[in-house]
Amino acid sequence: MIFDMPSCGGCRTCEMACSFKHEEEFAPSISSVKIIDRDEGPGFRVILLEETGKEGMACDGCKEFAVPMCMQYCPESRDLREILDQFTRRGEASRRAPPPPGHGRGKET
Amino acid sequence: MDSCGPIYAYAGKILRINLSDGRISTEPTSAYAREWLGASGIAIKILYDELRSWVTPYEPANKIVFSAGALVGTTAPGACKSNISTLGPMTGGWASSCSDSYAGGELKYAGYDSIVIEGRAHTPVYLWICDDSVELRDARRLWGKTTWETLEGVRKELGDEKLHSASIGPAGENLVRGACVIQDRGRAFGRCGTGAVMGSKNLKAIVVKGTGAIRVARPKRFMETNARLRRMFDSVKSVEGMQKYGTLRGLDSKQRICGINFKNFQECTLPEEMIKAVDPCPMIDKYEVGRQSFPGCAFGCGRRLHVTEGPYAGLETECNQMEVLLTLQTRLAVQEPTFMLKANAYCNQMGLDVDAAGGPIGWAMECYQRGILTEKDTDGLKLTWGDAGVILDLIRKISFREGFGDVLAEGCARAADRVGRDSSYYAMHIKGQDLYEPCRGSLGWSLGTTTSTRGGGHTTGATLDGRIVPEVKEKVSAIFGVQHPMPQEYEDKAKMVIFMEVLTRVNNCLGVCHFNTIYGDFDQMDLPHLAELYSEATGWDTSVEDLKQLTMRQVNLEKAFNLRHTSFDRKDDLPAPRELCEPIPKGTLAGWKMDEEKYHQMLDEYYDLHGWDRETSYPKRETLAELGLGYVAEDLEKIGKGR
Repeated sequence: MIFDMPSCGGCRTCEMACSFKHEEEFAPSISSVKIIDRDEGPGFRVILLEETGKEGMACDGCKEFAVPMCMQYCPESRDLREILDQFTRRGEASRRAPPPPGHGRGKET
Repeated sequence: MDSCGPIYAYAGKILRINLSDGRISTEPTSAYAREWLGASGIAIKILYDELRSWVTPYEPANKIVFSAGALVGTTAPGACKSNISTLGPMTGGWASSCSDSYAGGELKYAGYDSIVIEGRAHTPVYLWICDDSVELRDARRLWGKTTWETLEGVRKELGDEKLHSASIGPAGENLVRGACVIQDRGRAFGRCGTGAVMGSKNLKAIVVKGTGAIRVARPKRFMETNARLRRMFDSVKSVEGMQKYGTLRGLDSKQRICGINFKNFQECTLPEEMIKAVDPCPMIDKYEVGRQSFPGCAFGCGRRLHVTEGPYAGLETECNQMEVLLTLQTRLAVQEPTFMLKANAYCNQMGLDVDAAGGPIGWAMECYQRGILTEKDTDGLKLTWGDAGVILDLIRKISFREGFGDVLAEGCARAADRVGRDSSYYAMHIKGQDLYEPCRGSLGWSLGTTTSTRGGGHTTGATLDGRIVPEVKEKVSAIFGVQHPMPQEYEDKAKMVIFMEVLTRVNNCLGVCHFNTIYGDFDQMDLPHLAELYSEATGWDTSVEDLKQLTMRQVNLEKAFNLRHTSFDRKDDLPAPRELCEPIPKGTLAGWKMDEEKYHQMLDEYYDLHGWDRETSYPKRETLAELGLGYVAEDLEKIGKGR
């Protein structure tokens, strides 16, 4: 799922933290969260992976932690929390009733 | 540690590339990493050992070492800094510049801590590293392009819009002495002229992508320390201001301590109408479109701006920090507040260090003001203070070495030598390196700036005197272990500068941004925190004393590197003559003038604490021996500089 995060400064520390949670090493290439540039407008885009693949590992919401790893390392953690909540809600919704093609990608941009 | 054993925090390999014959090889980082802290620490060891005394900056025999800090690629606060070191064309000696951004992390994820670049390519090339794949690619189509165009060009050619580059612009290609290397569009390896050395090697850019991993030795403890240190930033009062305005929030403080460069150091404060006109904070509020931060940073002090009004409407750029405001805007007396954004962006595009623009242009404008230079010298340009169009034209002429720009491209010291006419008094430099730092009213700042092994500069030893105010005197005294921390006291400055030499080198070697440490705020990370992070990341228990030993070894080798390649001695560690001769004309310190005799006593104390000879500044044999540099003492004996 892709989300807009206008407050994101693009530090990508969340990617490192996420990979550490998965494998106890710092490797953004396996991270469940990806920060990508926007062509225009403030902030960056946040991708959360729903499935494990060549782009990285699926986001499991860090249920073992009170605060997900990516949030622990985000200076704008409240906004990232909102994105994670949306990700969880939409994931649950799609499992209950799979949406038609072209939907279910968060706040599409 | 066994040099063949596992290594943590470091990527593990140093990549060596010979541009002349295309040879590529690797060697283990562990061969260096116990005796030399990462990045610039490893770089000075490689360059000292491998560059013979006859090598000059633009020869193929010179080498460039591009490195990522030891903690880069991890979540350690502020660990996003890379370093480029070489034999530099500004001072003719040690050249070492750092820059925050993404390329360092990518290098480590690709498996390398450093790249040693040797030789000279026959035609322009760029270096493309993607994990184990290392390739020299044809850059003839990119030659002549700006750094921004180069970034777009390599991304397009390699089919990846997310790639990061460190590139040179026309200034580097044209061997402008102060040419820099730019990461992506806006982060400079400034000063020292590393871009010119890249240009001399026909190396247009380094592009790197890594998909591997960095492991730390004690993962659980490393992350606990990370979490604890990050919580510490929550209570740091300056963080909010840094997030909003970066170092630009400190203009009032600079005005208070008479630390502003106005009209090429003629004054150290701004006139009232000028300070109102150039106040950057309202401009940032008006044009900010987003934040900009780099890996690991605990708060993020960058901003992206889109200028929508005025002469530079349409400009989209990352906002600069304080140095640009003081070296290009106030030094040259430009009132239009968005000028610094435009001039900084243009310098970045050209790959020209902002101080290598502001320095010689400031000198030229003052010479023009005094009638030393006339339009006959300047290609018909009237070098009037504040003329933004003329300044931008001079930046272009410097970058292409066109006409009068060819003189300025040498830096103010050599330009003054070339022009003569007693103009050298107005050339503000240390060891040939253009200076933006006013030194008159701040003794620790001055001592650290002028003794810097890389030539003038405040980032390798100067105390940050704007923050040393009576309210924090006790805290500052405790941190530095001194009784007299205030900026106008000659006592204890030598000790404070040596403390800062350690701190800044630890930061540079670990790849930690200064502004996440007590360099930026006395409540932020200090040496014990950095020692803890390094110990847990590498698994090598490293104390603060160990860090001091490692970095003092580094300082002494930098010093020896300079002694081998230059004629620097005590006189080159003094402030520019103007700073010693003239009192501060206006402001809170009006009338204050450095006492030359006391300044020399301060310098004596600095040499004594280092174990360097007072008369010459050269390290003593026993000092070098204690640091495990006995072979360096022998080298210095051979060139008549042993003490």
